[in-house]
Amino acid sequence: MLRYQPHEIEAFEALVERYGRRIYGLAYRMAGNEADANDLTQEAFIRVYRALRRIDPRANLESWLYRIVTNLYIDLLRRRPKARVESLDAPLVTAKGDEVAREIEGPGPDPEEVVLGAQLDGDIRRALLALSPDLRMVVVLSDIEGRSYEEIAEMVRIPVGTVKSRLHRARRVLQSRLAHLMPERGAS
Amino acid sequence: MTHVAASQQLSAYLDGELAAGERQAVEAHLRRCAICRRDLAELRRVKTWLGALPEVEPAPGLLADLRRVASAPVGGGALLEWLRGAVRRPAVAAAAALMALLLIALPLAKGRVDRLQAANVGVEVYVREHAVLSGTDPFADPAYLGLLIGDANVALVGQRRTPEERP
Repeated sequence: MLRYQPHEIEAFEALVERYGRRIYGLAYRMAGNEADANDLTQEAFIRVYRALRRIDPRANLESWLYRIVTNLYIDLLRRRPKARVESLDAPLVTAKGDEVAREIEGPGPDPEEVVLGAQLDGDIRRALLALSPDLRMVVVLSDIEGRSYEEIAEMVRIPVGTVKSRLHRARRVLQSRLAHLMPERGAS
Repeated sequence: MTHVAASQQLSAYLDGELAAGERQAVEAHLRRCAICRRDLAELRRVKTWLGALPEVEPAPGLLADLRRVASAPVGGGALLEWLRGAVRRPAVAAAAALMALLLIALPLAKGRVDRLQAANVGVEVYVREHAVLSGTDPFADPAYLGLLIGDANVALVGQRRTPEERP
């Protein structure tokens, strides 16, 4: 059995202390729910633990962790293909064959919103969640995590050109969903 | 640069991810196009809003759970561990090898004895014995043991058919 020395276990705990919150934040913004975010974070740190001796302390650990979480999330989506096709914008078809627009009831007064009391944040979070996972992943890495196109391309394993076009599409969708908040349009 | 081409580049322009030539072309278009200027402002706003989202706090137990990862065993499954242990303990490995040999050799020897018996007692008795044994103790059943060896049928099929059996 692989046994780590006490100082190695300490090093691992230091990694948890240092990156745990941030990795959870990334997982939560990508997956959009706490259960998946918890699973992704745990799985990511299990991989870190297994690779502990191979980790180069000079390497960019944060990027590596981001890549692990991103790949775990992509795996999760592959295992759950239904999550991809379910679009909140698609009309529902009733038993009679009529199409009706979905009335999306917000998840209720969720804790984050209550604490902030912020309508704006709630709207942004909902718009973000309604994006397809492909688009959400890229826009989260870019605009929430502040990664460059090249870093995102490497993490998500897509060409830089695809990062660029997905990011633009994602922001366009968000722009139109949040149009009511844009002062440029004389929002109420 | 056309309006369509420029509007496609607005995000990359905003992020400073355009080469100098493209950037200048987009800027030239922006000076002429009010729609693109408004879009750029709104895209910038979207980016700013996302960046300003509050950090998500994990549930209190999560970090403790993560630290606990360090107390879980690492590496392959139990079998792999056992195999590794066996390499370090030659006596265990030798005993396992002997056991495996016996498991193969015993049915072989027993099957041969059974088949010789079958030839002596005749097919009917053999089949009746098989019917009884396969119910009570399938693994001791001569037919099963014969199956293990592969040529049990040869001994039976090799016998001449009695006149009644002929179609």
